[in-house]
Amino acid sequence: MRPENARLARLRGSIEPVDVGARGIESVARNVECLRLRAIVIAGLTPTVVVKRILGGVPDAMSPFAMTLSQSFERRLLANAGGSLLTAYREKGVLTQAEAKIGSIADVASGDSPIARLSREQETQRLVALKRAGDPEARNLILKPQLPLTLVGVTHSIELDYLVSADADPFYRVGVIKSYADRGGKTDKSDIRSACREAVVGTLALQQLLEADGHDPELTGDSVDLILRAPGSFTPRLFPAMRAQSELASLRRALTSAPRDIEGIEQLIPSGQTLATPGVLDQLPNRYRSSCKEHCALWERCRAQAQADAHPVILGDQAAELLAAAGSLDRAVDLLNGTGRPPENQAQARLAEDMRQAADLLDRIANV
Amino acid sequence: MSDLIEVVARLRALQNGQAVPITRQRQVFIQPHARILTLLAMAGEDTSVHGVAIGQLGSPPEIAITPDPRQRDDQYDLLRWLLPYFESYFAECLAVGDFPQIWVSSGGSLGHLDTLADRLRFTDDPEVQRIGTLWTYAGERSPIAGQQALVSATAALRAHYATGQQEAEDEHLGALLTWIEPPPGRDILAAVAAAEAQPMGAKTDPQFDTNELQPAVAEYNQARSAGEPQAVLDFHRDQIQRKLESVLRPIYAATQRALALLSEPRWQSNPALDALARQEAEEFARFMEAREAGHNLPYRDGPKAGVFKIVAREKAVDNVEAGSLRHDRSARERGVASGAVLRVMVTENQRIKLAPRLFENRLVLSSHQDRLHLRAGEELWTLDGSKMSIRVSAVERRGPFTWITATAIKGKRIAKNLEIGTTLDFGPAEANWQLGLELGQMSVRLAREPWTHGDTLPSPAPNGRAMPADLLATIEQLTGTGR
Repeated sequence: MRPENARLARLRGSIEPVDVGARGIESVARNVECLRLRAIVIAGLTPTVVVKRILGGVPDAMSPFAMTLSQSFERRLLANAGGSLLTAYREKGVLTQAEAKIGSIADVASGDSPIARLSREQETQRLVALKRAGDPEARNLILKPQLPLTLVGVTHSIELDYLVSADADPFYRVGVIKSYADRGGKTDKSDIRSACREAVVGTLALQQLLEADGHDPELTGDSVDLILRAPGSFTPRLFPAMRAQSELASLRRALTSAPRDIEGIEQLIPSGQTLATPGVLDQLPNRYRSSCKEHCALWERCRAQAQADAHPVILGDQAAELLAAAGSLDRAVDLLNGTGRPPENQAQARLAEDMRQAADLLDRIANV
Repeated sequence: MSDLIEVVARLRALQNGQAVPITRQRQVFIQPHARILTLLAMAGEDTSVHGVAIGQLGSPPEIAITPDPRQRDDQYDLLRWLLPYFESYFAECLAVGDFPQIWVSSGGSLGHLDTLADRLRFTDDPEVQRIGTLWTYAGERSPIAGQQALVSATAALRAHYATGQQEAEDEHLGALLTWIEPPPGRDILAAVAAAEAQPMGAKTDPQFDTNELQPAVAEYNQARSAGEPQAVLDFHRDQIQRKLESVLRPIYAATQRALALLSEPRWQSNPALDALARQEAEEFARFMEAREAGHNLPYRDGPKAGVFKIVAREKAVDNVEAGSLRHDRSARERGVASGAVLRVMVTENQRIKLAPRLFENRLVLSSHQDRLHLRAGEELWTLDGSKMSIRVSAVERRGPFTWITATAIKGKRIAKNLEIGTTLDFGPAEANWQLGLELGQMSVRLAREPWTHGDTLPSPAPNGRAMPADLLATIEQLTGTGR
């Protein structure tokens, strides 16, 4: 076992690591300042596992109806050696009739065992190497590729939806399949952003692969492909080469600061205790935000903690920003009402004055 | 300041353990005949309707479900059941020159109805197409500022109250109502957390799906596949209906409660809403007329229609703001705080003779507003009483005051009689919903498809002028920022 693995195993305690996946790693970038979430993911766990295995709760789960639909859509796209996926690319003019070389990694070894995973990784790397070497047999589509992604010196095995490359392209782009209905301009932007971030986890894995072999990691570019579903049907809608520059940057930023955190996390956990020890999780600094509910199973616990601490974020991100000088809601109430200690600094004095003016205005307009 | 008012209101709500009103005037036009519509989709199936509850203010709901909306024929039966409710409602409104209004529980439910409208009007069943077309009216209006056709109960309540939680959490109607009417003797945060356990959007709870709904649907499908008698199918159908009703009824009741709360006389009238209602009736008549004339509603607008709609939306934003600043006292005061309204005292009023029988009224106005969005050349209108407009010629900040020099443009007689010391509020011109001139200009400009919307790029236009040797120096020279 590598030293980092041993450190992480110690952090997890009795809990077995799980496949964090691209989605798990992507969630870290959604809330970069949340050390609790990062610690969990870095340790090889997910918030859902933590809720279930450590806190003994019932985590948020996907509806079986939605899961069936999502799996059916993906199966339909990737079945018959990716025939539907290939058609979508041809119809969009991204791949020509002659560009029909497809490799399916799932066919190499199925199952969740470490050996099966390793076999899939090796086959993915072999196919990627063909492209890098300019081999005319390089696949245009690689379905369900498995790639290693190193995080804090620990390797996570990431399964992606697919990789795509026309013969003339210098390298592969990562593609992600989502069963959201494509509603044109009405599609939820945050869904699109999160899908792009999930795809760029694969881009990072590809970059690490290129770098390890002494190649230019920028060969991957910063674009990803996205497939959505036409409303009310299983017809795929392809959005090729979507720029994901900012998603890639935010993910890099989130992951590059991770080595400092693992030491910090170890220091935060009392000697002889682990993440599985009751109460330890609450000691890890978190950063509860209004968007946590969208991606983290721990949101209710973090919200309860923020409420108990009277943290301004429980009134929203804007309140957290505007009331930062007060530090807590209790103090903000004191400043507003002129009770408690007098303002401790210029920022608090200004905040108190501004809040009183706002309160006067509120009284005038709402007759509170 | 405007942001801080919101935060202070939320802080007070948290302190009091109860939502606080943020306005005195009603912010939404309530049609006495409005329909409350609660639609439940099957998770993942965004264009499905698993169950529906429909009714009017104060009436119990009529409920219908389909055992499995993934079965197209069953789904269409449910939609056909719904069609007469809307067909007759829309016809009644059209006949009296009024507009229909649909209330849904939340933004999620509103989005679901819009998604359905976009999908259903392209089906191959004329009745299902028709309901899609009728719902498209509500869906197309929903993103437009000031529209009154499709109302989300959460958005309507949020325009009247501030709660002690995050804005995103206000999208749960149950939680929002709990803040407004907290249960006595109970911790508000615990009560809100309990309310959140009940779904209030367009979907059922995933745990409920796993434990109750999915097994019931599976049993129904198995019985149907096995060719079980109708009585057995009816039994399974009833089981599904019972489960869906347990979700539909609370959402319908909560939407009713929201409407009832906002209908209370405590909310003072808001004349700005009357103009919006008139506009809505006109839009509705136009929409129905176009359908009668057989004009199709495309899924995606062409460039020209798209531009027209964007301009109409932008104009709607300006018009709603102009109306609110005139007639809504809270909007006016917020406008003063944000600088959108200029509140001044007349300090000088000079009548200057420019030529025989040609005079000009020059005004010097002072304002002690911290924040102002004002520049020379801008035309502003009085927001109260008689119409008068001024053109700002100079703005100067001196100490805590801003001094504005302006000339009266419209209402010179009123300007002539303005007394020193009079306080006035100025803002944008009155709402004007006519798009005639803009449409004419756009028709000319868009006679040919813009290259941004076509497949071919225009050839680069040759530039005869030579590139300056030092580009930065040239720019600095032009902008007057030279070293």
